[in-house]
Amino acid sequence: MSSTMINVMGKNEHQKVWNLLPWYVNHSLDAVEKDRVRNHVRTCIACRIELQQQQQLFEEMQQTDLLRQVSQAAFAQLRKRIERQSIIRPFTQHNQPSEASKFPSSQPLGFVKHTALAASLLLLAMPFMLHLPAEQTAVTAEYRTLATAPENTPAHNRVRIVFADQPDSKQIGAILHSVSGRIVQGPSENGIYEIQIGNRHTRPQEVDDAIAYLRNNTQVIFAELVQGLQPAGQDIR
Amino acid sequence: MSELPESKVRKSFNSNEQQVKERNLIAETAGGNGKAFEQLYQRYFDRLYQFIFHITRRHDYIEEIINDVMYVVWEKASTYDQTCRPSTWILGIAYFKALKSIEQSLIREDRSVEFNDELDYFPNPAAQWVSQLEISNWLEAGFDNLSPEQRAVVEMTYYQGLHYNEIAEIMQCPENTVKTRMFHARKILAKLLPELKGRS
Repeated sequence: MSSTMINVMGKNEHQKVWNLLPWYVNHSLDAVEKDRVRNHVRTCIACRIELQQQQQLFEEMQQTDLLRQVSQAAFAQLRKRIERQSIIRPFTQHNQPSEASKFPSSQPLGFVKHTALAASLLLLAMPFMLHLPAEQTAVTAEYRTLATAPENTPAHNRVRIVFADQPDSKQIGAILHSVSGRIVQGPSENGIYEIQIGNRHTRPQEVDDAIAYLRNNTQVIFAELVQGLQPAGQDIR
Repeated sequence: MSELPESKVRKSFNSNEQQVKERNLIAETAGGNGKAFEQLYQRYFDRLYQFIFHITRRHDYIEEIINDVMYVVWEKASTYDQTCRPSTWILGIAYFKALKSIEQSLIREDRSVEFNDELDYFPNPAAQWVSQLEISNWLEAGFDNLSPEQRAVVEMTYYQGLHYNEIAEIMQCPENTVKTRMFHARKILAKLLPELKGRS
C-alpha cells in the first residue's frame, strides 16, 4: 500500500472521527464508535485539542433549574386549555370514568363541596321532617320557581317617564289614563315618574305599545322600561 | 499518555430507567390520567424550554410553544407506538413546532413593525430573568450566528445528549446532514472559544 493511499485513508479517518467528537463527549456513541474515537485521538493532536474544546462546550450547555417555577405556572394554563376543550369535546377516546378524576388536585375540593351540599339539603328538609308549620312558612317564603321573576327584578310593565314643562296633575292623569297607567313612584327630584302600565297580566307587547304612545305625546320627553335602565332594586333619584 | 477527558453529564436524559418511566407516563396519559400527564410535563418542561429557545432564539413564545407541544402529546398519546424513545417523539414534535413558530414570528414582525416602538415600553416581566441568564452566557451569543437547523443539532447534542442517528430521526433528515450541520456549527462556535478559555 503506497504512502499516498495511507495518507488519504488516515485523512478520511481523521475527518470521520472529528465529526464524531460531539457525540463522544455526550456519551451517546456505541461501543464500536467510542473505540474508534479513542484509538484515533491517541495519535492525533488536532483531535485531542478539539475533544477538549468540545468538552468545554458541552459543559457550558448544562443549564440550571431556574425554569422549574415557570413550568408550574405554564402548566396551569395548559390545564385550563384542556379542561376548556373537554367541555366542547368530551374525552370519549380516553377510558376515564369521569372528568373529576382526571386532575387529582380537584378531588378533595369536590368531596367538600358534595358534603356541604348534602348537609344543606338536610337542613332544608328538617322542618318538613319535624312537621313544624311555622318553620314551613319560613321555608316557603324563600322558595322560588324558575318561572318566578327574580327577587328585586322590576316588573315587565314598569315604565319611567319624564314630562315636559311640569304639567299639572290633571294633565298627567289624562296622559296616564290613555295608556292605562298609574303612578307607583315619583316624581323624583329630577321629575322622573315610575308608572305601571295595566296590571301583572298585561302583555309585553301592550307595554311596548303604551311606551310608543307616550313617546308620541308632546308632553312626554322620556319614556322607557325600568327593566332595561338600571340594576334591580334601585330607586329613582 | 493521559486518559481522555470524561464528560461531566449533569443529567442523564436517556437512561433505560427514565425511558421506561416516560413510556409508562405516556401510556397513562393516553388513558386520560391527568396526574401522569402533569409528571410528564414537568419532566420535559426544562428540556423543551431550552430546546425551543435555542432554536427560536426568542423567549416570548416559548411557554406557548411548549403547551402546543404538550397539547399534542396529550391528544396523541394513544398513537405513540413505542418504536422510538419518548424523547425522540416529544422533541420531534417540538422541533417542528419551533420551526413553525419561527416562520410565524417572521410574518408577525413584518406585519407589526409600526408597533415595535410601542411594545418596547411593555417588556415581558416574566422574561427578564431569561435575559439575564442569556447575557451571562456567552454561548447564547454564539447561537445567534447559527441557522435554526444548526442550533437544533447543537442543542440536541450538547444539552439533550442525543446520538446523531436519533437527531436525524427527530429532524427527519439523513445522518450525514446532521453531521454536516454540526460541522458548520462547530466552525462558527470555535471562534468563541478564546472567550471560553478566558472565562475558565
